[in-house]
Amino acid sequence: MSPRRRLLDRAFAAAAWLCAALTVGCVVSVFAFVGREALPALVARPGAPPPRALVAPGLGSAFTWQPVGRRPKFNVVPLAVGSAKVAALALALAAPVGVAAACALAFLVSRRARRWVKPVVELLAGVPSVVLGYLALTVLAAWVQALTGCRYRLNALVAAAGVALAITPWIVTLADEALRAVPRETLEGAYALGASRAQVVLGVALPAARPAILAALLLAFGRAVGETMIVLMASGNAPVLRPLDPTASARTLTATIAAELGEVADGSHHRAVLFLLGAVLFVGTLALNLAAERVVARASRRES
Amino acid sequence: MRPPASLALAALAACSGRYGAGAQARGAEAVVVRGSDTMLALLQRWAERGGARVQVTGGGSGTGLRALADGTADIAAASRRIEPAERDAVRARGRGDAVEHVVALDAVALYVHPSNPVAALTLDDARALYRGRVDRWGALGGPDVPVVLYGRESSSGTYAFFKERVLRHDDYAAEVQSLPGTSSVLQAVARDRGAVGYAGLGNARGVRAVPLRADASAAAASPDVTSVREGRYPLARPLYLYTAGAPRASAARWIAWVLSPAGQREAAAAGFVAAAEAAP
Repeated sequence: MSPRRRLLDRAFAAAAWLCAALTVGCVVSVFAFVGREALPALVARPGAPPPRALVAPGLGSAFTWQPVGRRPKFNVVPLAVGSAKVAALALALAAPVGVAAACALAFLVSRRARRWVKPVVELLAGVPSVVLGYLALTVLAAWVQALTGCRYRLNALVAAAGVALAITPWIVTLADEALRAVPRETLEGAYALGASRAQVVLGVALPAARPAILAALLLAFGRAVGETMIVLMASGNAPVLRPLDPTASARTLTATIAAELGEVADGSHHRAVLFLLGAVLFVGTLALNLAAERVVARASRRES
Repeated sequence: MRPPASLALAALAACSGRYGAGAQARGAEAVVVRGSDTMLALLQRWAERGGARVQVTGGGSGTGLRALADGTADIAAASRRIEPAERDAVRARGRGDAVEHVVALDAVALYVHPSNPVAALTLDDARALYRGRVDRWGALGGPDVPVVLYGRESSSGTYAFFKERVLRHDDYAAEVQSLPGTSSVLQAVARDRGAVGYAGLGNARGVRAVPLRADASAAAASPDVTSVREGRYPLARPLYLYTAGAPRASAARWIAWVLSPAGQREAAAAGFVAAAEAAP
């Protein structure tokens, strides 16, 4: 190579490396910022409730989140349970539909139909979450109340339905890729042995793609936990601790931060706790992403 | 033919605001108003139409009164009375005592679904409702439907006022659903047969305002302008502007406008009740 080309080559490498470092730096800085703002909530300070009040039950074994008032209470348990409940319900609604749709897209739909069905599904991913939230608040809430006769019009189920709408296109896209990555020889072998289409899809393709589909579901769960606007509008935002009741209202970590962070005083315990919620979300999503990656890595190692 | 660059430059300079009405307003110093978040929208409305250059910031009644004592604000807006310690702090500044102006009245009403015929509620009933102690409306003289509680987010002044005046500083029940604004509370109540929600006066379509009584022996009063102004409605509070001694000319002019019929009309339009001093 000529010296000039070598220089350009090195310059490109340096620039690319710089961009990577910048990206990593951004992530680390965000975490450092959130962590620093959250730290005061974890140390005992005069005038603020002790850190153990964040998770331990208060008077009458109640877990209360009521941060404004003469005696503010900052128990995080109802919020964490609310987040987990809405995300789990959303995944339960979206996963079967999404995976089934992916099976259809990958194996059962003609090539011509696939050319327009796939973009339409991905169109759903482009709908802003505030629109989905409004849809959940008006249309879905009415349907859920008509179907279940539940007491609260805005509840975890309605919010989960809205979030399911948001994560289904993710699941469909990722699962579709996973299914199409199953080697043709495997499928053709199954057909050659006389298997029906259903048997090939359910008995051969799905198990082969299982690690990748699982990783897709984990990522979708992470997305569901991070969803803010839909739950803020459709869940009722009541910090009720009823993990097994889908028709009870719920308050998630994300909606709490969105609703309250704008009005807290600088340096207040309330602000520090909200940043702590953010840090918890950050760490939780990171853990989910790492788990998804490990699942995929283990699967590809097993296959090679 | 493309216009010459000089014309483009001239057009750009004309838009900069250096020429025209902006220049004459910049001569006067702005009146600084700081304080109540409940009054923020109202203060901004008054600031736009009051004729003077007024700069409005929120931060809460306490923040505003502290700024008045520090000298960093000309006027403090407060949704509660000034406290003795705050009065002392203002006096210590040496410009005189704090002067109180009642500029509007804020009332909070309880709304139910139009099909709910409950005649009236005492403040204790309202307290029991929002503490989660009442399961069905039958217990309060309404139909046999389950109670669904709607409220505001904890950052709202209405939330704080309701907590202080009705709940007497106790906690809301966890089941109270938090909605982001007055209109969302009213919309939710209009859609739900067992619903109850609290919100300021005005724009109450599709819902029914429940008359309140201070206790079982008092007469029930509907949340309307007359009963609030006459002091018969139990959930009302005056909104204040405080100055330190005699205010500056521009501040005094602005306050006079606020208290004039024009200013009070703006207060009514913003969802508050015009203060007793001004005729509607």
